[in-house]
Amino acid sequence: MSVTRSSTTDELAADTKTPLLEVEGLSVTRRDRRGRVSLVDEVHLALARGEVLGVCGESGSGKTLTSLAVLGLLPAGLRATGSIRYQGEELVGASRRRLRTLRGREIAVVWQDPSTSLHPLLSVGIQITEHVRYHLGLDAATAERRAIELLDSVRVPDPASALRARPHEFSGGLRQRIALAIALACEPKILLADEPTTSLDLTVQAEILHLLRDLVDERQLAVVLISHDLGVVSSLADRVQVMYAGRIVESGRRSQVIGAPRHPYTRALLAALPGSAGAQSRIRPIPGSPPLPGHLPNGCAFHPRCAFAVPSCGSERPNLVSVEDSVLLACPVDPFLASASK
Amino acid sequence: MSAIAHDGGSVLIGDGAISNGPREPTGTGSERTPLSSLRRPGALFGIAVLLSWLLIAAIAPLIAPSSPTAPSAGTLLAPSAAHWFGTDELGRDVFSRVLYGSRLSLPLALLLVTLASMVGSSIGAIAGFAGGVIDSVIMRVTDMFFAFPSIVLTMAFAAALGPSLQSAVLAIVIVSWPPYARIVRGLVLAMQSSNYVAVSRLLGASSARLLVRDVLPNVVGPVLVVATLDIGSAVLLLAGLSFLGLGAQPPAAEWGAMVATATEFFSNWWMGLFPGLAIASVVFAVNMIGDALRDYFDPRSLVRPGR
Amino acid sequence: MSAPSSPQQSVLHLDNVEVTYHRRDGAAVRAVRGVDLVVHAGEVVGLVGESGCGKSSLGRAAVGLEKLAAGSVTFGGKPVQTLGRRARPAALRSLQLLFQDPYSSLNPRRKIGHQLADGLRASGEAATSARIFELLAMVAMPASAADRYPHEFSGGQRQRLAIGRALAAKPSMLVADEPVSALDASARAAIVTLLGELRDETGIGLLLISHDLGVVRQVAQRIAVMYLGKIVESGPIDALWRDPRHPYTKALIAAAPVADGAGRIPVGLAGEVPNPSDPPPGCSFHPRCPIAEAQCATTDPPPLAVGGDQVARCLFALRSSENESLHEPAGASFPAEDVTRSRVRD
Repeated sequence: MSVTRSSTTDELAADTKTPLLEVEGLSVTRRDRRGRVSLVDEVHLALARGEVLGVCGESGSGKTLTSLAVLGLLPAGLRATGSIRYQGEELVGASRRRLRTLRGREIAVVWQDPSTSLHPLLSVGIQITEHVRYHLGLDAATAERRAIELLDSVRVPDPASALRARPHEFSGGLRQRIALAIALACEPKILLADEPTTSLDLTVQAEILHLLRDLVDERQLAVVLISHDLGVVSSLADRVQVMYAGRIVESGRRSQVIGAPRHPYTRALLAALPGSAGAQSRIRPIPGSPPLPGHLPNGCAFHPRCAFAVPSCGSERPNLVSVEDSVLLACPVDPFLASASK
Repeated sequence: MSAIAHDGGSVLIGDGAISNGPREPTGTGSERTPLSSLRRPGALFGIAVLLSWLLIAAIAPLIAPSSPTAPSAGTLLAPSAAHWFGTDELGRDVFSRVLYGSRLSLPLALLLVTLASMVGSSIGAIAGFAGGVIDSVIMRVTDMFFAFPSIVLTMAFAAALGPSLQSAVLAIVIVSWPPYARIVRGLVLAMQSSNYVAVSRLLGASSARLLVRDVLPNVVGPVLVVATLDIGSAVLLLAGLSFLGLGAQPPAAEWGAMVATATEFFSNWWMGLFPGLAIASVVFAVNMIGDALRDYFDPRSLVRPGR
Repeated sequence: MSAPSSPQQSVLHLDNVEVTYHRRDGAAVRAVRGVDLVVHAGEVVGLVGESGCGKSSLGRAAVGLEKLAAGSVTFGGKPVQTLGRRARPAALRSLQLLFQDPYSSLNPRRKIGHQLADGLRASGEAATSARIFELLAMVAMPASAADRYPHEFSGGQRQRLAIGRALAAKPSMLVADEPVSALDASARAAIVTLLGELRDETGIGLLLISHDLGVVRQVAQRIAVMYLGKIVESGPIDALWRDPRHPYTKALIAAAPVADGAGRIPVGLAGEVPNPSDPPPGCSFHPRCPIAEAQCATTDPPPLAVGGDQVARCLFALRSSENESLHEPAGASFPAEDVTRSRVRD
């Protein structure tokens, strides 16, 4: 298994500059009795090699649907419009055959729950080798060797015996490593990780996050990390995007969005987290609940729950604008200036 | 994961649970009732057919042009304006006999299934709740019944009880209860380890209360589905027994018996075709309804709210 | 931490509790291996541990849903019998359990209102609509919820409804088994806040079981840390947080990610939780412990009082803690092998 490393810094710079994945104006809609309901609304994102993009939001924010749209795996009845370009190639409207080739081979995915994303009856070895044999055409012996290397790279102890075992014989953390091994089997360039550590214990989660970081560094892997857990995103992501009700409300570098959040929703999310080691800060839940698709309030989707809302928030929908140094913000009220202090 | 509830006019939405990977978005709660799930074309058609037959059964004496048992014209007449379905070997009007046949086949089938499902469900519930030796004994008995093909067993019982409609009914009930027992026992066992039953027990519910409050609502669905589909089998079994002479005795107008007689008069195609179509239509109708109900009650359709 | 002068009838007392499961091949799995725990009325005790530590089994045993292999559980002085065929005695109905999974703890085929009414009747109260609406309001759900079915609600809402039902029985002691693990961050915050309000306003005793120290910290006054069936450290929450004495507690604290935008990955813990049917000899944590020495493999550490009500089961609990501040690589403290280090990015 070759570890892809750029040989010169120039190459590296060039790699990281050209976006691997570009999503522009992606909208996902669902048909309803009354027409079409918008589930994801004009989402943009760009991802370069070796970069980790964190996508945060609560349930119903549309973050998972975005990744499903990229994979071409939207459930029946949902339609994606806009542009999704992988290495310049347009994926929206691409043939199913082309998407099948891309999935797993170039763009891989790990889900939250390895006990449902791994086949319960097939051995781990078969699940990995089937994957490489389909995409890379390897013969059985090579595929098996490859599988052992993969399990080793995700730090599964005793890979040779692990091949013969079935997923339920492993703990949650090991299962997720196996899922990662399968995802990386064909050396994809992009990994979509949808809540990859949410169902794991904290110590196991930390291990997996370290592993992901190592994988990103070694292979220049581009990762879209979807999580409701801002702590996880803060640990691993380079850039962060916050979604609410299907729309992006804030995006920028991790140190900006999470370290110095501007959008009231981002701030509210952070205030809802248990405090860091140190002072036992009181958490503050966000009043109300996210709106149902198709029932978004007028104007800004967040304004009914927003502590900084002004009257115009209920009538004018804020656009996503660049406010400073790579930060995009969809809120006209800058909390830094607001007199109400949190 | 969008939440699903609506609170009258204002929107009631929910803080959510974390997704478990891709899942179909479900409809809103208001769409999912048993009645609404029957609004599909297949099920509606099935209901229409069934209701029509029930209506016919009720008013057969009023609409049948002739007596079902007394000859009314020449024998073996082909269908004509006077006799829409022709006449049989004794000169009886086939149309009237088909109409009257609904008075036997349909109510009997419904009765059969009701009895079988109640008996079977009770036995299954007892097995599930009692556990231990009682459960084993009951299940072994059930297994014995399962070991035989139903038609063979029915025949054996019917023959032993003497050829009559009543014994045919009894025989079919005896043969039909095991599937219900097995289903209900399985459900009861599964529920005993479920969290909501644990909650009920923590709240002090007695076994009787558990049965009624927690078990019954969850059992009704699957049993109803099986029972609906079973109506079709019951009609066929009844027809089969009559075909073999073990059920309805002549001169009763029972569809199965009519088909039986018609085998000897193959060239007089109208004698077998129309009763056969009647049987088929009921079985088809009932299957359509059963399918729709099953989709409603399928636990997988009670999916967590979508992302 | 002061235990309020509580009527004796609300003390939940677990004494040397053992819960053992038998696998199909006959092997005995000791999920809980001798746990002592006391929860007073009006007190919140957090039980923290990760998968495989036996905390759920302990929670279930505490209310009578699991058979005890040894030891005893008393509530208000009376033994908590294992639930059998008979209805649960009325005296025990003030001891309730809240389940982790909001999807399975509500009966999918019964209306919410009816299920809440169950709770009311359990405490001998009449199940009037007024009371049901009151309960719903207590957990911030609209009155219309009473007429709906569970599948119409999301996870967070269902958990609230489950709490409402538990409260309907007017419990004086509630065991909550991972009540927020299945919820996302803001739903979690809402439920945790609700539990805090309950603690403040109703004087209910709460045994809060969770794998997340951060969550427990919001509500609990005392904490017990569990590993492989035993409590390895316990004490007042502030003391434990400031000065944990058991290496596992330290690992748990260090593993929590911090949302500060700094890009630091929290410290992990190498190795896997051992199989409960085959625990390591001596101290069960020693194979993964950064400070383990030879004696740890042969001696099962007894509980050592560290001062101020804090107790830790570690042979080195009385050593003053090295200068490891959490979230920094601590050289000798954690294994130098690949995985357990925190890193600063950017």
